[in-house]
Order: sequence, then C-alpha cells, then structure tokens
Amino acid sequence: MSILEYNGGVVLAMAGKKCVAIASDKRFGSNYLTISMNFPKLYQATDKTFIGFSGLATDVQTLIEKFRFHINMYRMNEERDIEPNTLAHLVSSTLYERRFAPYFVEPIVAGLDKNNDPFICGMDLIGCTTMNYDFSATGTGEDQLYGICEPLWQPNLEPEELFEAISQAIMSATNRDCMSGWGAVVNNTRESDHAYAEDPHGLIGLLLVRQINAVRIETLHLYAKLLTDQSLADVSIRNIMTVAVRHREVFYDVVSSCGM
Amino acid sequence: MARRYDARTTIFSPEGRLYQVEYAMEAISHAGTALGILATDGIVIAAEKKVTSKLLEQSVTSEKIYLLNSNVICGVAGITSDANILINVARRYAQQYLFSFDDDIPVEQLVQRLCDLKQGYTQYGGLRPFGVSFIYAGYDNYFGFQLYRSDPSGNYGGWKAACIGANNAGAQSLLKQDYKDDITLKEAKELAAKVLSKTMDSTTLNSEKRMYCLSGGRETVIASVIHRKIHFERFSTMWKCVVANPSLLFSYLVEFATIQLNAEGKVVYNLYKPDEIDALLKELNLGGNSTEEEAS
Repeated sequence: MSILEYNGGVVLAMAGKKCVAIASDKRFGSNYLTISMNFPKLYQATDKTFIGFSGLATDVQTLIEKFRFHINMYRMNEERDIEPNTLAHLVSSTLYERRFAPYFVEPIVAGLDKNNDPFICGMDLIGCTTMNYDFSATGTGEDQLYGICEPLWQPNLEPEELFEAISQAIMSATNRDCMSGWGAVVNNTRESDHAYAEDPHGLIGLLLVRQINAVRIETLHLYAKLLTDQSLADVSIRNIMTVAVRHREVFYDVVSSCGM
Repeated sequence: MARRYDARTTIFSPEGRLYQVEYAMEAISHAGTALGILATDGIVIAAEKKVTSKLLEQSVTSEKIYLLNSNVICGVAGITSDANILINVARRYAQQYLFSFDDDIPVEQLVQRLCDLKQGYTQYGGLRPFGVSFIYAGYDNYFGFQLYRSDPSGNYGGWKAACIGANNAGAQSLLKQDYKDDITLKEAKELAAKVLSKTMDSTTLNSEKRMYCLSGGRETVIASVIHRKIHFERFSTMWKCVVANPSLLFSYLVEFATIQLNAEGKVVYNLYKPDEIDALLKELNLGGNSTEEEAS
C-alpha cells in the first residue's frame, strides 16, 4: 500500500454558477483501523477560498499550518486577501520545493475570485496543477469520485443544486471505498453568503436520495418557520433543506420526525 | 568631546554613553508623534503623519500604524524604511510562533524578540542602530490588554500611556495629568485626540489652525487653505514657505487605530479611515470639517 493511501480520505470540489463547493470525508485511519470519524481535511484559507488535502494526515496538518503562516503574511503585506489562483500557485511552489522528499498530500484549491467566478485547481504531491472548469477529485476514492461526478455535474448549477450534486457524489463514492467515508463536510461558497453544512452521520446523502412526501414537508416547514421566521409561503423545499442542514442540532430532529 | 566616540556604535564613551544610540533617538524626535493609551476595554493608538507635498500619492496604506499579528498592532516613529524592516521581522516572528505552537504570540514575547534584535545592533556587527521607536498595543489571554514602548537601544517598558516622536515629553506630561486607571476606550480615544491636537501645534491654540491640522482627509486640508486666502497670513508665521508657494504645504494628517474585544471575545483591530477620523474629531469639537465657518 502506498504512503498516500495509509490514512485514507478523499477531497472533491465542484464549480457552479458563481459558486463553488468543496467536500471531504471524515475518516482518519491507520491502514484498516479507523481511528477517528471526525477528521475533515478542509482548511478555510480566506472568506472565499478553501484548500482540501488528501493523503498522509501528518502532512495535511503540517501544510494547513504552513499555509496559514503564508496567508497571514500575505494579508498583512498586501492588505488584501489572497486570490484562489494565487493561492494555488503558492501551494504548487511549496510542494515543488520538496521535489525529492515530497509532502505526501494531493491538495485541491477551490474558491471564488474577485469577480466571484468559481476557481478549482487539483494538484499532485509535487505540485502539478490542473485547473479544471467542472470538478476535481483526489484521494483513495478518486476513481469512484470521477465516475460519479461525470454524470452528476452540469454546467451552471445553482448553489443548492451544486450542494446536492457534490453531496451525492461524495456519499456514493465513499460508500464504495473502504479507506474513506464516515460522513462528509461540504463547504459551499457562493456569492451571496457562505453556507456551511456538516453531517456527522452521513445522513445528508440519505435525505437527498429519498423523496419527501407531503406529510414530511409540513414538518420541515414548521421547523424552517421556527428557525427563520419566514412565512410558510416563502419557504421552498430547497430552502428548507438548506436551512435544516445549516442548523445541525435541529437537523436530527427534522430527520427523525421525517421518519428517515 | 563626543566626536571621538560616536563613530562606532559598539564603543562606550568615557561617560558611559552610547552616542550612536542617542543620535538615533534624536532622529526619532524629529518624526511625527505617535501615542498609545491603555484603557480597561481596549487600547487606542493615535499618530500624526507628516506629508510634505500635495504631489505625494495618498494611498490607503498607513505610514504610522501597522498590524503585526491578529492580536497586536504597533505605532511607529522614526525612519520609515527602518521601521518596515522591523515590522516585517516582527510579523514573521509572530507567524513562526503560530506555526510552532498553534497559538497567538504573547505580546511581551513579540516585543522582547524585536528588542533583542535592536539590541544586537548596538553591541556587535558595527552596523548602526535602527532609527525607530515603537508603541505596541496588543491582547493575549494571559495578561489581557498591554501597551509597550521600545526604542533604538532595545530597551522596552510596559506603559499605561506612552508617547514617541516629536514633542513626546510634552505629550507624556499631558497624558500623566489626564490619564486615570479606569479609563474606558471611548474616553481614551478622546484623550488621545486632545493630546495629539496639543502636541501637533504647541505654539498656537488657534481653533482654526487646529481644525486645519487635524482634518483626517487630504482634500479637506487643501481646500481649507486654498479657498480661504485670508488664512495664509496666520499660517505665514509658522510656514513662511507656504505663503511664497501655496502648492507646497505641510499638511498634517492623523492616523487612529484601536484594538479591543468584540462580543465573541475575539480581538478586533480597527484602523480608522479618513472620514471616520473626521467624524471623531468633529464629535470632540477639534475640527475635521473643511466647510467650517470662520472662527473668531
């Protein structure tokens, strides 16, 4: 088994219309043994940019701290946040500096540039960048991810549609890969706000797959109303799901009352 | 008498003085004033920057107050190029600490490391000392809000209110009179603005000239002089060159910054923009508005 597969894990990023989403699984293991089920591999670099690292966990942690250093220095010197393509090049140079004793990580940089257009860049362990316009996947379940992303992705997805697509993709792929899984973290960055959803028990995939019938919609409506104080007429299904997912504690109640 | 001993920084004089270090402090006393005041719920740093030409490109970046880390800011007085080097070094130290310990550097440690560097330039290498004094304002979980002052010798001290740069002795005595231990951040801001207004213009306390001096925005300063030719006479006593050539003005601008905790207990640094400074000064009746009616 290669050292890149020792701890397991996957990272996936997808681009939509004026939005971008990045997701990682939460497994941290030592070969076949699962040590932690709460080890997300994403790092929020700036308000609009994320880096996800798959591969050897110690290098993931060290590189997160190393990039925090560089991003803070950049912000103080240039008095602005780093752009995603600049960050991608920084990550690439940092990895190539260790060309002959590399960090065993394969990162993905995903973010919105200053025009809020999506930017995704996947890399190998020595910094070769591939700037895909649609999606990018790395990790032990890379093949499965590419397989499921291909039919699920379409151009110009809205933020909620993108969220569904990326969640479906990562849940399905990690189900077919023994070295990754145990839930997913999806960071969905859009122009208007920053939606953040966390799903400790991998339930998002279930919710999205199953249909919601009329009875359950009412329950969700009630919760949404309580949470957001909007009138029932305003709340669409997508909003309910996004809202419910955002409030983690309530989410379990919602799911259990829906009988899922 | 001093001539023989000031050529090299690494030599003591017979009286036990380091002349290069003292000359560095002399250089700083010509620079714009910077002062810091420690309040119970935050710290304010105010600084006066001297812009010598209206041709100079006024950018948004500050010249006197800098962010060193997410929990520490500093005010500068002295040679700006020396200051830039030290600020970059301080930023790297703070990030290196964050990288090693995953925690923000305690304020005093950052001050110490920078002062150790400054001290090195007074003892070995034969290089001249840095011609900069700093006022550091920061917060950490161990000692709360802290204010430090350092000088080219590498000495530093913790202060409740401190001042560096031109007229710093006068400002220090003013601060001593008006400072009280339980001062709030709001009162500290007022005190800082008042002291700064007095030190910037210690010869006359003409309210109009004070207004002119303290306007935070460059445009307002120029407008008040060019459109009101009558004021040239009053200004001529101080700035003879101004009457001869109105385009060459000494326009005094102020920088203001505060550091405090927000509702979630996170450290927040606020470098005031020109209109915010104007608003603050207007509130305190110290000026800040170019369309003021003529004062008596």
